[in-house]
Amino acid sequence: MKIIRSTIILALYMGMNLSCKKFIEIEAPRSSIVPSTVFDNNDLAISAMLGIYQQMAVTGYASGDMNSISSVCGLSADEFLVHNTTLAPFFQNQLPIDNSTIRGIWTAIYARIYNANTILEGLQSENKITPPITEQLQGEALFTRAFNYFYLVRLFGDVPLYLTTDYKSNSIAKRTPIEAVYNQIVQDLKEAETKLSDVYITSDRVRPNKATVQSLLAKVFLDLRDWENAEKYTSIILEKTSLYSLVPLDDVFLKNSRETIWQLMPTANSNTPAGSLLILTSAPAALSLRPDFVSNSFEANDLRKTSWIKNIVVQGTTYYYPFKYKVKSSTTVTEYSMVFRLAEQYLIRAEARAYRDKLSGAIEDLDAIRLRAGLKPFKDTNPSISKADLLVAIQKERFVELFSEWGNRWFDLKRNGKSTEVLGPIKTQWSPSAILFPIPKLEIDNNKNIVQNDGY
Amino acid sequence: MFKKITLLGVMALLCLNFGVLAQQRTPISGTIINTDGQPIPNANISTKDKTATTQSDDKGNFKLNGIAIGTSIIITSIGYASKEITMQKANIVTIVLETAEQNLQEVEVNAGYYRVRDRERTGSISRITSETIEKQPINNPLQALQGRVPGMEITQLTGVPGGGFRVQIRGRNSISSGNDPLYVVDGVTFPSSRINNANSNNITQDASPLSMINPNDISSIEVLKDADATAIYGSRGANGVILITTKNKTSENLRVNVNYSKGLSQVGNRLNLMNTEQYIAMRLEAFKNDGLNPSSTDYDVNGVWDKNKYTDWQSELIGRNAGISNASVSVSGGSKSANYMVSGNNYSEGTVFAGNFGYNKLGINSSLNLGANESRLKASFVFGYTQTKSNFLLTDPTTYITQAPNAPDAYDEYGKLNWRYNNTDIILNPMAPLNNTIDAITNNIIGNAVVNYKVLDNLTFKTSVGYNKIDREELAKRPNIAKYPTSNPTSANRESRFGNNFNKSWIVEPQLNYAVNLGNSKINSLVGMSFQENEMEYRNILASGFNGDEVMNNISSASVFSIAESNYSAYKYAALFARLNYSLFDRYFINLTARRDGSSRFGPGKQFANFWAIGTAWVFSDEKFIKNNISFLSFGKIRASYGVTGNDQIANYGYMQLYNNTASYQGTPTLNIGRIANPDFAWETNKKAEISLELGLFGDLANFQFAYFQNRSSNQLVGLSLPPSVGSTTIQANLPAIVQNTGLELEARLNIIKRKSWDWTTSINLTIPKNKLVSYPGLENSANATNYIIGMPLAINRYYDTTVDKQTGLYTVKDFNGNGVRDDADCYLNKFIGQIFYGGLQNSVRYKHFSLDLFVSFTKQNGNSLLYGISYPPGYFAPGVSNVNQPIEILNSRWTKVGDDANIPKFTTLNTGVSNFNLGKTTGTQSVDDASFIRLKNVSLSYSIPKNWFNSLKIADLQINIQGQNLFTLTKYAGLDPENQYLNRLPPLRTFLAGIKLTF
Repeated sequence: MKIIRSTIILALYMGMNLSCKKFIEIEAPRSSIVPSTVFDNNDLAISAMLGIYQQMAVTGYASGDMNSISSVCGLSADEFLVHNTTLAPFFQNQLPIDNSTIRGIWTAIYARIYNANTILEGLQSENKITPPITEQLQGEALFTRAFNYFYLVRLFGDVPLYLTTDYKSNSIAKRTPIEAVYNQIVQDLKEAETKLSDVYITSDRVRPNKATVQSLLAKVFLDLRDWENAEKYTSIILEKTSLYSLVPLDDVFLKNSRETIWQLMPTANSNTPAGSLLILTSAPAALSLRPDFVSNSFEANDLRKTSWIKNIVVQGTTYYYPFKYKVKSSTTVTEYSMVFRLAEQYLIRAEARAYRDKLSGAIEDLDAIRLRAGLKPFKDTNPSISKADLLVAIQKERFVELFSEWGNRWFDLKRNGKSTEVLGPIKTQWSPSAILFPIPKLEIDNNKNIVQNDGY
Repeated sequence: MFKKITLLGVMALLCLNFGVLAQQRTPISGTIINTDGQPIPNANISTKDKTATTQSDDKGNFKLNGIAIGTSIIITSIGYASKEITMQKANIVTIVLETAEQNLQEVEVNAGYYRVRDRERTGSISRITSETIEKQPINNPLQALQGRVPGMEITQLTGVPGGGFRVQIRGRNSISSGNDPLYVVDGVTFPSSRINNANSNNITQDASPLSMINPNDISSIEVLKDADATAIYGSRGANGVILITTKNKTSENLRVNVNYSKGLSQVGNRLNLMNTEQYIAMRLEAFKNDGLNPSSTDYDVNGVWDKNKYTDWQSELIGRNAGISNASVSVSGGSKSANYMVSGNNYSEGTVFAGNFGYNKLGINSSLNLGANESRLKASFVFGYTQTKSNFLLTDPTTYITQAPNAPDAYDEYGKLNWRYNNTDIILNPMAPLNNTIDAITNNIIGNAVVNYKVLDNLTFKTSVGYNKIDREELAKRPNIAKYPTSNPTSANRESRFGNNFNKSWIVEPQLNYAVNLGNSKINSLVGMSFQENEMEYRNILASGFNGDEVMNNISSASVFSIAESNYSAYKYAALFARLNYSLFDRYFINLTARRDGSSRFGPGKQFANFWAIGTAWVFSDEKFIKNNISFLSFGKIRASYGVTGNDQIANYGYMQLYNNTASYQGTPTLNIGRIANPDFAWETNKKAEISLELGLFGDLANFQFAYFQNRSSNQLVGLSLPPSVGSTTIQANLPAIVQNTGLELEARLNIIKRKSWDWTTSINLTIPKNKLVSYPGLENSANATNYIIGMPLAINRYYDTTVDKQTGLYTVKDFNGNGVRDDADCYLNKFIGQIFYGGLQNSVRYKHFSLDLFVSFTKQNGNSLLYGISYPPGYFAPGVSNVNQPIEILNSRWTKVGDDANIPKFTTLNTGVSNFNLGKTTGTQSVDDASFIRLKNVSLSYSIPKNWFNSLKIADLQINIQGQNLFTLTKYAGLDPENQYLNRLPPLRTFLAGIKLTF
């Protein structure tokens, strides 16, 4: 009897351990997809990549909306006035460490980095993606990772650098020094450059191509004051005249304009979040341009002052707003969110050439921008301008050309060491440590190895 | 010992022949039958000294040889009171055994995978039988358990039929996973969570799946509480197990039961709202306080609305009587080797709301048993189908009872919705939302087949296969007729939602039973496996752009579609379980249970876990030294148990890294990672310990049960905070946080009078629960930092110390940390929201053919205050706002002038008053109130018509009854109802039902 019983129990137990493991394996839910499926199918893998752009475009740091880098850096610098309490700490350069906008930017950028790392890992492991697609997606993911670290390191200084999705080791990481982060950015971009082609992979200019990577490389080398490389990469782009050229001011921000190097496509059936935020039809609820910027920064007859800036008078007060994007709201989509455009490349090369003492070349690049804006070229008015004066003129030109775009002004002041000199006098609570945003409290609370920036 | 058995068939025996010599030995034979005249097979017949024993055959016949005259013979059979007779002469006797309902220790209790005699029970199992259930006019079996099961907290969330309940057995074990018990109906797991119904959640408050079960089809409900009882359910036993067994009592004779009852439901308690005069006075006082005059939009007081008009919105909106009718027929019959039962039931209940709404339930239940008792192979089948049709509205009309009492009539003289009055628009018409309807059809199929095969005399192989499916189709409509016409609704505003969902599961459980008697000891063992698969799917399509309100039932009449929700998930589960029970001298019992579970909710390597328990019991009253010394002690048992169970009530696929579809980019659907997956999380474990004492005094005239339990759940599955840079702010993980539930459960049952024509039983139960968060590493940095406090119950809330300022008449918050700003540290007052103790008191009186049952439930608790449910401060009005009338209570303690020591801030018309009011009634201590209550939960009076009245008819039994539920509530709570504690939800209803029961 006992033998029978033990045999049966044993048989059951063995059966259990052999079959039950199999039995309780489940398929992925129909409403979601597991990574292994994503990387078994070209279209799904592409969808995962597009997911990163979509998330960047729809809201937050890269979108141009209220919480974007364009807005918060513009407020932190001398581009915008503030009209609500949420954004006021940026305008006052008094950021509490638990500021929710900062936390949102930090969290979202890192979420995109996580997604990029997931794609890179997925493409590295065994998969069924066809090789050209693998190349393309690796290029895009590397670019995306570099792009996001580029803004992190400029906003926060040293930041934790993750190249894997291993949350366990990542969650105890220390901050990586700025130089090492830039090194990784350059390395990723150089690898991406080899993987991406000159043509845009789809009909719109909303997925990065080789020129997009090179644009970012040029920006990175500008930050790093590596003038030779900055000039090298801008030159490569500026020579691609079959794809890119400067266009009339009113056409610059149209979708797929010839000036576009990379745009983000807004949510289906809508135009840009920046247009929606910035164009005023009543008193501003968030931002408006600083009147002193509007009145003091432009030379007389600068077409940009009339073409790219408008105003509205509400109860006797004049509010200025950027009018680069012309559409506040419409279901007919004519504009995409600009990330990189050709004009900036002219200005980067002008600066790099000036530093390399190629003044005539620098003037030539600067004049390309000035001419479009209806201004007299330096070539005619001041061909013998000194290097120092030329550098000042280039920075001034950058301000009026690139205002309200991607915090360029904030980062230009920062990389030129001019933040305190320029912002100190107009910001009552300015302190030099404000050039870096605080690391969000939530990050430090959950990773004791992260040290806060000075001044917070 | 008058409760001892009455002997019917033995009468003859007693009259015969006293003169026979004691030494004479003789054979005895006879038949053992029950009171219905049915033979009782497998009854044990033995002499008292156990020298001769036998069993009755399937016809109840037995024969014992060589019995000395004068020998005592004992007849026992499970489910029947044992009987002792003295042999007087060689004889053929008929022995009638009575059902052992009185002998509590002989009752067999369903422990899920096995049945156990109450005497031998080592675990904590409470049992409610059909007798109790049938006395209650209810539509959900959970209502039958309210207040009757110690350790079980049941809260009815709404009075709408089919609506939701919150059920907790022995407290809240889990911080963030589910706390629902496991439901098993006839061996098939039944969903505990709501039937997915995103469209109608406001009205039904999570439709309860158990409403699909007809209470009158239930034969018993067993509630498994401690480790010994629940460990065999392993990972799903942590929150207790509720076993529902449907009626399967069959007989060989053709039996027909007919039940019919009819009655009504109504809102039992009215809120004391202001009449027009009081309301206008309140408004004027508010204007005076604000130093303002009524503006052009203050319709209620500026002359636009009639200041003398009064509408009792409460009775207009929720004041109707909801008709109830309940009819059922069951037929049973068969033969020795095959019998069946089929029953049909129709239940319909209207609503108390204005408008034509209702709920209808139609069910068929059947069972078939094959194989006679002695057959080696036996099989039984249970099959049930229930369909409910409900036709409700999307918003609970209780929301609108606080409409201004002088608001214009809802309908004009033509009976149409009224939107204009005195040349002004009526922006909110409380009857308009009655047109926003939700129709739902829910089907439930449940089936179970059990095959028993006796491999050897002691060894039985059993396999149970079950299937359960609930599907629901719903249509929610928002037609334009419900909308304010001045808003010019267009076809785009006509929205219909077409929802479809199902939840189906099957379960296969093979098992082996081995039982053997070894002299004084008995071994009972069981080993089995369980395989289960569950699938759920939910789809909800939002259609709009209908040309007319009338075509909104037809999806093809819509022009715009979107997927409002689409969800699918699967769950698989496998287990091996075993039980070994050993009893010695029928006094010492030890019960070992173990289970190895595998669940698809966990990642590779974490899918399997072991759960076990040990239970022991000692019937000390059978020890000689007690028997001889304490004569009034008829039964005494101590039992104790300890074990480990688990909880896997987390979302499916939690461990998987998943990409979800997000919006499109360049017209291509995109994918995004929803979360960081943790493949390493595992079960929550719950260690349960219990000790209990059971006493029966004076021949079980008085029975007591005391139990003390301590459950500690750890390895809590919570969202663990991460540095957001790693890609997500939280991750599902096990945290070594410990939640402890302790409690004392008392039960007493007193048989105060027991005579032939008189019977009075009182029983009472009381539970004193205590919940405590013992530890939570990293609490201060987690997302839960402001929700929980170590050393306090989980259901603790932190409040500002708000008082009404004597100068301003507004709420002010005490600056506890004195830093000049209102911050989290000022939330220093901790209030517990929940039950402090609860229980019930049952009185059953039978006099001849009458029986009367009274059940009172009581709860001592803190809950949401009346004020918490009030949306706007007293005195506030806006044309589109419905919640402006106020309960009279607030008049008593309001601030009226400088220096007043008041509880209610000054009446105000200002918008700033709204946020100030919220400060107190939502974030201040004013939001909590004592919501204790004593409720006359159930009264049932029935009369069985004496059999001799209809001897000539073929009627076996005829009973008429009157039943009432939630008849009367004694409470200091000022809101609508202390149980559901919401001003905008229909409270549990008062119900009256009269019925007739007929058996042929």
